[in-house]
Amino acid sequence: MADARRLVEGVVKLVSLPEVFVRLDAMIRDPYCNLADVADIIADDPGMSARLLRIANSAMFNFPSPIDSIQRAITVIGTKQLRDLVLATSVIEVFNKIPQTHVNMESFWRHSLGTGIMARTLATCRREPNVEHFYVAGLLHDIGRMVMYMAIPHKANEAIERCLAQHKLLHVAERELLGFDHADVGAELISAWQLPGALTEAIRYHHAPSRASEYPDDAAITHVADIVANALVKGTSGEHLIPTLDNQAWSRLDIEVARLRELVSFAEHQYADVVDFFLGKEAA
Amino acid sequence: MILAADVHDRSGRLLLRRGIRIEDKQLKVMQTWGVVEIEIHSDDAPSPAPEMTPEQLPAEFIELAREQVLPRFRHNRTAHVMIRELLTICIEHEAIRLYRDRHGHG
Repeated sequence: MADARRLVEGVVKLVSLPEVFVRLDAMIRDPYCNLADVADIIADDPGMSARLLRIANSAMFNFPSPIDSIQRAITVIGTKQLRDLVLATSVIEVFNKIPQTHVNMESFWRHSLGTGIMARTLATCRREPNVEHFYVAGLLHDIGRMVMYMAIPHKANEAIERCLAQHKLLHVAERELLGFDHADVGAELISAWQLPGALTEAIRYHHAPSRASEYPDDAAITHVADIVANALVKGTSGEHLIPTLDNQAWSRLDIEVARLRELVSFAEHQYADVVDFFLGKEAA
Repeated sequence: MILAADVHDRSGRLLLRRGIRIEDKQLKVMQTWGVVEIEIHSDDAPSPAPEMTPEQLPAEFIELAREQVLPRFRHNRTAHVMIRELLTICIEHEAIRLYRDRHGHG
């Protein structure tokens, strides 16, 4: 994993998380913080406030009445959930600010958003307490690939070309070429950002969920969400085939297969709204 | 306009499949990927098709969709109950998309 870590060390200064997230995260960890303090931090960043209100009023939540203030958003969505939404929004902004010549950013984020929403849908079906945590894991599962496009673009493209020529899965070709894959790189970035271990493990093992020892549910949900998003061709982060399903991960989810169609339909409804928000005029 | 042939980038990677409706946005993306020329159908678009469910689709669209979707599942066991269901959903989605593209709908 040392090579993956070295790769991240080379770019981490370019992709630091914004002040608003760092302050918010510290505040939420403080047992004496209150809702007004949290709302004040978000209100200090008008752009972030506006984006959060748009997410809160999107099809992702489908609240019966409009959410018109951050304080109300915190009350109905939850503090930790809002922190995760700030993280998701922040990471997209951080990477979109960096000129990327070796990757189709829109396609990359389409796949990432598709996986995030599918992970959130699977987590909702399982009645997980914080579904936004799974949304973030899905959204960031391929973030290591973005680091590779920045740090070693020619090797990253060589791996894609090898896949196209030999019909291999991309993470397999990366491992052959480099000795590590984008999942290792992504996990190192999440770790460098000092984000929770559950997120690190979900990302590191999204192609090998049975190897996740501490947070196997997180890895299993991210793994299955990635497969469904790839199958439905919600953009691509470079992969053009559907990764191999780990049967143990699917069984762990304990979701009846007859519900899959309904879950896909539910996720697609949210996807259209969220993609419009992140990749439409507002995100340009 | 509707693509009359698959579009590949300079390294041969498939960007868009034939039958897809192309707007200005896609044209710009293709330019950034180094595509300088595409083949399109004539703009004499037929009248819009009605909404279709997978059961109502002509079998040729299901077959065409299956041909396009199945190779992408090559690293999965299609006998697995979840993969089989996912494959069915993908084929139906693709068949509806092909039908709409062919009939100038959506």
